[in-house]
Amino acid sequence: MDGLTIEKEQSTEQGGTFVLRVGGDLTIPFAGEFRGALLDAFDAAGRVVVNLEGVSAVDITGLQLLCSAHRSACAREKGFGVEGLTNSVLAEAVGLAGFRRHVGCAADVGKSCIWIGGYE
Amino acid sequence: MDAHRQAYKEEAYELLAELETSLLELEETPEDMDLISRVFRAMHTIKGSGAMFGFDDIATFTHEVETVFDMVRNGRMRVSRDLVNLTLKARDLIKGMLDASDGGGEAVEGRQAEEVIAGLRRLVPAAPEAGATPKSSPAESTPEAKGREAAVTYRIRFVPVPEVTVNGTNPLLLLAELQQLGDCRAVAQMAKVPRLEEVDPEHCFIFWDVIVTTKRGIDAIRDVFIFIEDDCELKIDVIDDGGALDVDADYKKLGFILVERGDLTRQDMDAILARQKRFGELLVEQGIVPPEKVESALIEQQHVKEVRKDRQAQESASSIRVPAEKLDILVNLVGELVTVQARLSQTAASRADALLVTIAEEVERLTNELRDTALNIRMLPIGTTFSKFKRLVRDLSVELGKDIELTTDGAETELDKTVIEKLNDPLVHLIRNSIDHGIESPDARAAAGKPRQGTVHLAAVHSGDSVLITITDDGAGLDREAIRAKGIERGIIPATAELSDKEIFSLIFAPGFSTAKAVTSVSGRGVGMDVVKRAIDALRGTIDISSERGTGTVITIKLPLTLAIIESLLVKIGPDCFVLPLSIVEECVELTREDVRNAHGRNLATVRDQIVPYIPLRERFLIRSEQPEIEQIVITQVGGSRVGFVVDHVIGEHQTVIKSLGKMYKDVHGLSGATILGDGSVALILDIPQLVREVELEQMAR
Repeated sequence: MDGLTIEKEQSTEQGGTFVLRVGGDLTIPFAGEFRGALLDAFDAAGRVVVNLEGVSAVDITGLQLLCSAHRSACAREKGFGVEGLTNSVLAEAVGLAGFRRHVGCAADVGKSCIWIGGYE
Repeated sequence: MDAHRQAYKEEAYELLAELETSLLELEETPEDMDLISRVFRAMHTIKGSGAMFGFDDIATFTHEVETVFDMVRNGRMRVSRDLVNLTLKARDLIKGMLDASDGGGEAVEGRQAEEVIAGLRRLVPAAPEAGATPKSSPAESTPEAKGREAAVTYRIRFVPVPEVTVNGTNPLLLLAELQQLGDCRAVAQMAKVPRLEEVDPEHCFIFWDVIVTTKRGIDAIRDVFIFIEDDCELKIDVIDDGGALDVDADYKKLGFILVERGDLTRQDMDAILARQKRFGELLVEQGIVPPEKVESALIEQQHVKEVRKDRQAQESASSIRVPAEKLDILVNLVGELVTVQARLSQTAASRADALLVTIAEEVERLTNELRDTALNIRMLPIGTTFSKFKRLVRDLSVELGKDIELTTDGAETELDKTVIEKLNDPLVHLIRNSIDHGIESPDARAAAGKPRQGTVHLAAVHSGDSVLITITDDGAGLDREAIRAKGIERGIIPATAELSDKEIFSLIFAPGFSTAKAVTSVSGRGVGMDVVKRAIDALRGTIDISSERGTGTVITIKLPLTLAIIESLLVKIGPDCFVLPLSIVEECVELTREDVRNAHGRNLATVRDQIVPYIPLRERFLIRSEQPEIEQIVITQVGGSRVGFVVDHVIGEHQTVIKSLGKMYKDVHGLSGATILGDGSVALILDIPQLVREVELEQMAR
């Protein structure tokens, strides 16, 4: 267990992008912390990007929070993106959990579902 | 029932062969879990089906051995040389029991079986009285060993309660376990995942639709969820029953899948269907079914379609078991057909009837295809024979205190079944020879600067219409002078003879020839090599030796692909036709009366400044008809030297269907069979090596 690390970068321009650079364990003991960081980011910026390249473990709560974040973004009409899904730990978990999609869910009005494409 | 017993025996023999191979491999890599499982599975299947078909002795005995291997499998015991030895013995006993079951072979004495079992029990680590409860059948713990059930496809809807994660369950691990069962596709249903603002980050709001195709049965699936039964809603349906009721490879339409799952009502489906657009798109557009459910159903549809397509492909590619006699009858009939077809073609050619000629050509084309196909069916890879030799080499090297490894190459090379069967004994002789005479003891090898472990290499390769089998050892090689001295001593060669290596080495094929100073249980009695030679001759093959003192020996056997039909040269002497195997024919030259006079009564011809001895077949077969002015010599290659056969005319190449002469003629020398020609007459097939040998013996007697 490495614990969870979240580095925050915010661009200076108004309504700019907030990047959360996540590393370590994206698992249930740190789910609350991750949720808080995501909520703060949405409050602070017009677009939130989560970079997962440094994640070394992930469970269903971590994947689920990414989905929740996308739903919130759709509802608030903000941007949401995920980077580093090619990280092998994540790629394996996403495949195993059956998250991959050809079409987004009903909430995905902006056609920005994070689970579409980017694999195979 | 008898048919079932027979089928069981056939399967058991195959499993025993596999068992032997696996055990020998296991000896080299004792940690290989795959191999251990393979041994266990083979034992388990032999035991299980044995009990089912009334082979109680086999079932009881195998059970004991299996129990020991179960401990190995569970890591409670290690693979040792003793274990492999005993298990090999056990394997032989099981084979003995199988042989004896129909009155064939000798009955296995209970004492032998008890000895093996006692030996195995001694190997079992004393600890928790494992041997005392032999009836704790380990069978149930290995669903995969239940064997050959068809793969069934299941649809699983797994809805965990949100607290499942808090209770310490990781749903991903469950999905991973499902993946172990077989081809598996999971689709997460995320519709109920709340927004960040409302979500309890430690709860799970996702449920899963999983499609899995497995042979392990529904219980194996339930077992995956056994610890969270109370924490989830689980629905498992069979959506493809493994082919029992398949109509075709297509699967249900999307709408029916959704209705079956309870995600869509029949009325809604019918209403949508009335619009005739792409059904899935319409459903989503209308907001009747959320897109992820449609996606999940589509995945099910695709999965089952693929499973069924695979199965159909497998079924069409699968094999059937046919008794070997049936194939022999087929090949015989094809042989007859080839003969009749030749007559038809000949007749058609002489009638000048365009229609008849067309039909004859068509029949010829089909017959040729049929012939090739029929012969091909009887082709078997030679690897089955090779694997038997691993055991031979292992046992012999232990007996002789040598360290020898058998390597093989070209196990996939195919040869006619009958050839492979008849090749077994000669190869055993040759390999025994290599091990006993060829390879030195480890100390002698070390002293000679060679690795202590000797190698015997067995290789098979296709070469034109023949197969070359080579046995190479890195032993001491043949002692040229000892063989020569022995040959002179036995009067096989004159003391003054100038012989090439090849000719000297071929002396060891003479009956009773042995240079071994001591007779061992393995070889040295001087029976063997002449038997080998005769067996290879009978297969219309040739055998060749090359050897270098100190580095090793290479024995090359060249065999025709098939014994049923050969390419041959048709010749005529007087009114009679004869056939020579084309594979040994080198060339044909003319022989005039003048040539005969010039040779002064000796049967020697000069061909391009080389002297070739010949055998006048007219005299040999006492054919009384007028001798033509110019005869033909067919020059053949026999045992490393060129020998000619004088005939009246060479007619040409001929496809010869070989017929045996029958028991009445088994003492006739110089002929190996007969064939029926296009006009219905019989042509005899010449046994060239034997003719040469006989003439040589007569010459020496003079």
